[in-house]
Amino acid sequence: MNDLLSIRGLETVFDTKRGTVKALRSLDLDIHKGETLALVGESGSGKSTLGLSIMRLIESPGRIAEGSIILHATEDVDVTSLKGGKLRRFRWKKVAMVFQSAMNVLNPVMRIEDQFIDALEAHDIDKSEISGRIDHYLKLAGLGPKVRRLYPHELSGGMRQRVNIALALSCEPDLLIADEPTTALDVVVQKEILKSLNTLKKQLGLTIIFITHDISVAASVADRMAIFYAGRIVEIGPKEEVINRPRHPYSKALLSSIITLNTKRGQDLISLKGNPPDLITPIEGCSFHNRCPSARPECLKYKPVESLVSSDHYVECLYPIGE
Amino acid sequence: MIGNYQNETEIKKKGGLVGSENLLVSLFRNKKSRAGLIVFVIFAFIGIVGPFLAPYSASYTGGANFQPPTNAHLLGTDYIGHDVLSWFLVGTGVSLYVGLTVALISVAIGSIVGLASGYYGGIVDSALMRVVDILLILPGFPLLVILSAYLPPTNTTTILILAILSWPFMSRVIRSQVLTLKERPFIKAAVLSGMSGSKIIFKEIFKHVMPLIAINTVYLMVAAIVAQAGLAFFGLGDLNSVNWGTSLYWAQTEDAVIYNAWWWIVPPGISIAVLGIAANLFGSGLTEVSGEKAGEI
Amino acid sequence: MITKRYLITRSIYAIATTFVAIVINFLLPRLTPGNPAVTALATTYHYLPPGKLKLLESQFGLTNAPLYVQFETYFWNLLHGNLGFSFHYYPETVTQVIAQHLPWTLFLLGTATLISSFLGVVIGRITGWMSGTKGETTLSSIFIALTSLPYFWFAIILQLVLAVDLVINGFRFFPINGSYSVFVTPGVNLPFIISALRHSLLPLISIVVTAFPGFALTMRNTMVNLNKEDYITMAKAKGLRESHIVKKYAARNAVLPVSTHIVLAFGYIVAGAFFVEIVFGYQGIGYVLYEAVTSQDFPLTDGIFLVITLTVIIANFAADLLYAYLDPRVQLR
Repeated sequence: MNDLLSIRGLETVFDTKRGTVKALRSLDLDIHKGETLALVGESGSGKSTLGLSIMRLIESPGRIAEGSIILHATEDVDVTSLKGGKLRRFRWKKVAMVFQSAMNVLNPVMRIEDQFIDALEAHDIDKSEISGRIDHYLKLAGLGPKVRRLYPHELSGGMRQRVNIALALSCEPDLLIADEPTTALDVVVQKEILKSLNTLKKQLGLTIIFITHDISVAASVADRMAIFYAGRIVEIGPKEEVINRPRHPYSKALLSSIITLNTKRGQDLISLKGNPPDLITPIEGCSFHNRCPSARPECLKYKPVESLVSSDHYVECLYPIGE
Repeated sequence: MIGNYQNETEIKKKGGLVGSENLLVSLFRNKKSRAGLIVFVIFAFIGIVGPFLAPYSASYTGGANFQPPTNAHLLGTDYIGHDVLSWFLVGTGVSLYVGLTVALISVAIGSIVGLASGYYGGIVDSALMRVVDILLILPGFPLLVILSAYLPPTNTTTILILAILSWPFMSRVIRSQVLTLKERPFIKAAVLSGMSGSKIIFKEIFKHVMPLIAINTVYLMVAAIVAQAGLAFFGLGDLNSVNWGTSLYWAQTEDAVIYNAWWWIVPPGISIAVLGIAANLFGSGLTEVSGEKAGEI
Repeated sequence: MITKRYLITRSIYAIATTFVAIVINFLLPRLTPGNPAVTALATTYHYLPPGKLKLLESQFGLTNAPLYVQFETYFWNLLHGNLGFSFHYYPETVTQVIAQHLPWTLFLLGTATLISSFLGVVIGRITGWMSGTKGETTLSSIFIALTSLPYFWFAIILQLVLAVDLVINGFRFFPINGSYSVFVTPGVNLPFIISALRHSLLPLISIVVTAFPGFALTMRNTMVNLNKEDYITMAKAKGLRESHIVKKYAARNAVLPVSTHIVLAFGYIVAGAFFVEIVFGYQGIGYVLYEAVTSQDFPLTDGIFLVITLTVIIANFAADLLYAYLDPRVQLR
């Protein structure tokens, strides 16, 4: 097996006053070693919830209700059953994360270097090694050693996100989850950060899960792409396949929303009407049927199952495009 | 919260702006703010009709001194035979009047300064806020005492002094709210559409600052009642006026404690405490109600 | 690190406020209707020898000289700690009277502030953890009720219940009023210290019980909000120990809002302490201010006003510097 992580039947739910929201509905996913997998979808589709579930950062009123997240390390570990010290040592050492809110994830009253030191010390990195490591990873992320003595508020948004990347890499994790790492930044900085991430991935042979709502950003970083809708992956496959030959009507709609610049006059622009389904009440049939431009009566009755449409390209639709 | 599910769904919510009539209705529907409002209404009722309900006049001194509650004097008598219940019924209105007037004056000044300062910014803002900052650093209580010591002891003086000392805080609160509002899309849209500054302030911003003003009016009223009572307790202000503060002043100077005259001490203090709790209930109810609405904007 | 700019702006504010306080103190006797010296003479001070009006007027610096000349004299006297003579305590000077009574208030205030902030922080942290449970809601409601009680009224009730009424077998647990028993001689001796402490108990309890719930509520809210902060989630993601997160991330960031509240509340505690002193006849500066006000001892009232105002301004200034040290972001505001 060349997989780093295998997720089976994962259900992450949030208990609210109105009822239990199923943010992830029996989700299956394999992450290959060394790949960049982009998770794409609208807000509320469950892609961020998946990232937080892997990190075990889902907190009350949320919980992982069912399923397993198996990490294939020297021996297989089910992340969902980790507790106490084992959970602590898993976080950041095995899987690290770059969060969206670059501004707020750094402790405002601690110097940058101290925020490295406590993470490195928590994972038993030799004291003599710590200082060198901080400089090394700051440099990799494109920052000089001067940053070490500064406080977060003295850095720009882009610099803070670079610090966060360096911080996430500092314990040399097997998997890096980047949750909308560039969304809060302006376009120029966004491009630079994406470039750094790509370079780092090649240099260090990282495995990356890249979460984004922006399919063009996903296209620029990913090897594979997974399209999220209403708590499930509706299409997954190699980037070129998904972009050039989308098989799910939802993927097609998402893609058409970004190619406006190259769209010829008269060409159909599919715009989606309606809202994603309410995740409290059980969904009957296909979750996308109410917005699908090519829905048929059967879509209301039968749940689509995942089917292989071409090499490594799966889609969850009763009538995939092009068949 | 990072990638929190609820946050993600919240973005999708849409909704119109809140009208003030809806706010009143929701205030009645919310348990906390309703309880607070009911308490206020009861006190307002006592304040208005109290003097007519009082069994004796406030100047009546026919009772025996320090007499515990009896049928003739339901709340007993004080050191020279005043009927305590009658004093309470007459005094409630005066205390409420002082509190409410102070609150209204300082809220009016504070709102104008806060709105102007927050909306126009620039020199207006810097100048006003420097003044406000200095007034805020000056400790209120000693200033209150010295001003009352020198100025003629009337209730009007007390009201003016308390109002002068309370508006700076109010203007700070309003200003910071206006600054946040200015960044909201609907205000930006109004500016772009060429609406005049005063129109935006009164039509758009004022509507959204309203809950904040309401909360602070209530808090300021209770704070002013306590402050007036405190001043009276210090022997300042109009000691001939019949109100909760002067009741406690005379109770203290005439050794009510030594005579164990709890019936004289308890009513004003409990009333102030109950008003304080009602204000807190009203405040948290209003926050819940307007917070829900704010999420929809 | 405290930047020069921050230090300078805060100093300017402190100095400007001090100046405003001094000007108010100078102008009030001169601008208010009626001559305070005459008022003072006309009321209680019949025992002052005739011809004292001139002396009193010079007490106030009330001459026919132009205002700025009067201000110069006034300011010069102030710089030398010369606040004039007290009417009520004549022939003692205002400075002497204040010096005698200030220690009592400082003891009461200092102890009360320390105990109530300690209690508030500890209990607030516990209720912060309990947040959402039934016990916590009940406790918070009780705290809100306690903060609504007027200080002086609560003090009277305590005096009534715990001092006047609580007598078992002829033994009175708490003295009714005063700062020490008449049977001891003030000084550094054990009977005096014990007596003074015993007399300070009820005043202390009065202040603490009405002050600490406010701190507890602030601490609780801060704790609850902190758990929603992104850097706390980040700290968990980094695999840090719970104890480390609480110490270096939560507590460190809670210090600022909580200490802001304590400093803001300090003004109220000062006022509260004054009222409590009056109720218990405790001979601190608050009781003296009460005497000065009720006997129209204007020089003493003015002097106490200045001393308290300056103390609070200096306390605020010190707190500003402390914040900047604790939270580097403060200086950007």
